[in-house]
Amino acid sequence: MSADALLTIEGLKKHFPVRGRLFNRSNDSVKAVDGVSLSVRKGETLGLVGESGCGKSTLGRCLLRLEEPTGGRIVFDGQDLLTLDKPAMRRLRRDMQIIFQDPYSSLNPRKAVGAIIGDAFRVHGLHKGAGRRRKVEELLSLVGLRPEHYDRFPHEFSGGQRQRIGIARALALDPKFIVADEAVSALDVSIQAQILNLLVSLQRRLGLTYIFISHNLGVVRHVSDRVGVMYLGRIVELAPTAALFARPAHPYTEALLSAVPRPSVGTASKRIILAGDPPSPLRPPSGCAFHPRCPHRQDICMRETPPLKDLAPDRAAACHFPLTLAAATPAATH
Amino acid sequence: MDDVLLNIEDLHTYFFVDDKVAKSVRGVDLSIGRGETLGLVGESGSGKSVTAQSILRLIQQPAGRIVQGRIVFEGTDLASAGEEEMRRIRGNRISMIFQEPMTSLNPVLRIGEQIAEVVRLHRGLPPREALVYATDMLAKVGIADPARRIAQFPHELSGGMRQRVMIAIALACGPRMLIADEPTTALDVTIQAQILELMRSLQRDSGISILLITHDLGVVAEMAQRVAVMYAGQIVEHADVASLFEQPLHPYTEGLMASIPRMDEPPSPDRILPAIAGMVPNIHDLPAGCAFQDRCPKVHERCRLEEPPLSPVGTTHDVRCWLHVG
Repeated sequence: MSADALLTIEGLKKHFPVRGRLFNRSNDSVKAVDGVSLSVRKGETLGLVGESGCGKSTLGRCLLRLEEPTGGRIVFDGQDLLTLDKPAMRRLRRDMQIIFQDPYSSLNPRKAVGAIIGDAFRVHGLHKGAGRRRKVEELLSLVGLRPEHYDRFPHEFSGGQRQRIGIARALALDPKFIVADEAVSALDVSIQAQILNLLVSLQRRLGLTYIFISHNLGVVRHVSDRVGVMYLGRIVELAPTAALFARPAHPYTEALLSAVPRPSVGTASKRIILAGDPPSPLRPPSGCAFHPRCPHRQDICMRETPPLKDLAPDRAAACHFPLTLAAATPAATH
Repeated sequence: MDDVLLNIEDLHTYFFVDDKVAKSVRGVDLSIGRGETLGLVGESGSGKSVTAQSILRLIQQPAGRIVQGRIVFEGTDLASAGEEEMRRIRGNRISMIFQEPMTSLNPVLRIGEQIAEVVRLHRGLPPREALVYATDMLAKVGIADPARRIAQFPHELSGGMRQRVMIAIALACGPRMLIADEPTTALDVTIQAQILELMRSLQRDSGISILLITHDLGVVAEMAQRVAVMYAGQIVEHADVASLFEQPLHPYTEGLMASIPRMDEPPSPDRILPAIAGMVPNIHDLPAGCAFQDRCPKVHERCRLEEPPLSPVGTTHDVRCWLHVG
């Protein structure tokens, strides 16, 4: 655990029980998040990528205890989150906020923007009376909206503006840490760029720390200092952004990067087309969850789940035969 | 040109709601050659999907109407064809696949039946033969164990497999043209790669023409030979794929390309993207002159007064911008 970590997660798990079909006897569970350990440094952006169902959003929600984790530890700013009672957790939530994908469904359509953003002040008993309005108007300006927008309703805004409202709401309590969960995924490219720029400049001005969850690898490369790649509830690779995109270590990362169509011609790189679908978290494959689709699998991959191992300073992968270091180190010594 | 399969001339499709008119498509000219993939790109509300729906006359009724223009396909003007004629063409000569296969598949019909239905209807195949044909189609779109799959329901399949089933239905009658409206937008990238590869190989085998509608410039760069960029109901740029990506001429196309965060290039040190300012104009209340004027970094006097025509710049490149007119 590094000293400058704002957030440290150890062995975090979120298992959802599955009801059995026959006499309700099933002990099955969907292991949406299955033993994730990582830390996020103050002021950095950690990107989390992966395909649908990999657990990245559940992980993000667990960090704020919007989902109650099944196991593991979350240490935020020196406090062990999972041991906090409700009032203590509510106090701490001032420091931790989340921005969602669909700004429309996450804004109450019957409340004016001023009330939506000011709600946080009401809950925490801050900025009473005229001071509250002034504070909300400041926030509106901060995210590129106008103070006059205070009395308008969500439907009067475009998708990009609604996401600005969502960001203003997240910033209201002056948080240290923000989970952005597919925050720009619903937006058109030209608006996406505006919102990304806003998030980047707010981070600089306010010294924010981000976990940026997205399926869009271009967006993640753009905003992240480090990137974690998830597959079926686990982190399979964790690396500084430039290193990950230049030399992926996990075969899944390699395939994922190669699958993205480039917006340019004549640069067609070798594409690895993975066979099949991502496995169902209800029936995860034995050993390494990626082995049924992995072009490099060996026998051991079907038997043993590879742990997330350090390959180099600041680089880790959960693979018996990682790509970059495969030649340098004899893999699978255990 | 005799290798043109579909020719759209001056298409205008409007929506009349209350007292307002939304001019979703305002004078689109497009042609698609045999065996060609034409990419139609643009952001939400640009008119790309309405253009596609106009071809098959699937515009939302009664509000939507083709008010002007011709859509000539195999000698027939689809813009004025009778409903009977359109039924013969839809799903038979021209097929369409959509973003979300789950909403286009019938949830209570086995998938074999859904494919068989199309060939029974258009080809008059007897039920048993139609089902055998359905099994063959499933194999053709890369679904393993097709004999078992035909008995399954849509909810038993993954998103990628559902889109394969949609493609099987769309191609069952051997159409000459496929309209693919954001066919991979709802899919994960590794599955998207499979579906794009499938579309390419089916096109190689059958010589079908594809009108590919997408907001994803990466998908277009990979799939299309020619690209038309739409903005506020008009084509603002139209070129072969190489010149569009190497030398975009319209300030909107330029801006769009610059504003994509690239996964194949490191970000600029300050991580600020060159974003296009503002947002798309209100389609109910378009400005006089160029529709892009309020967001254009190169706007000048004329742009606010007169609408620029789509003009050729070289042999394979057209652009609708006063900076590039004559």
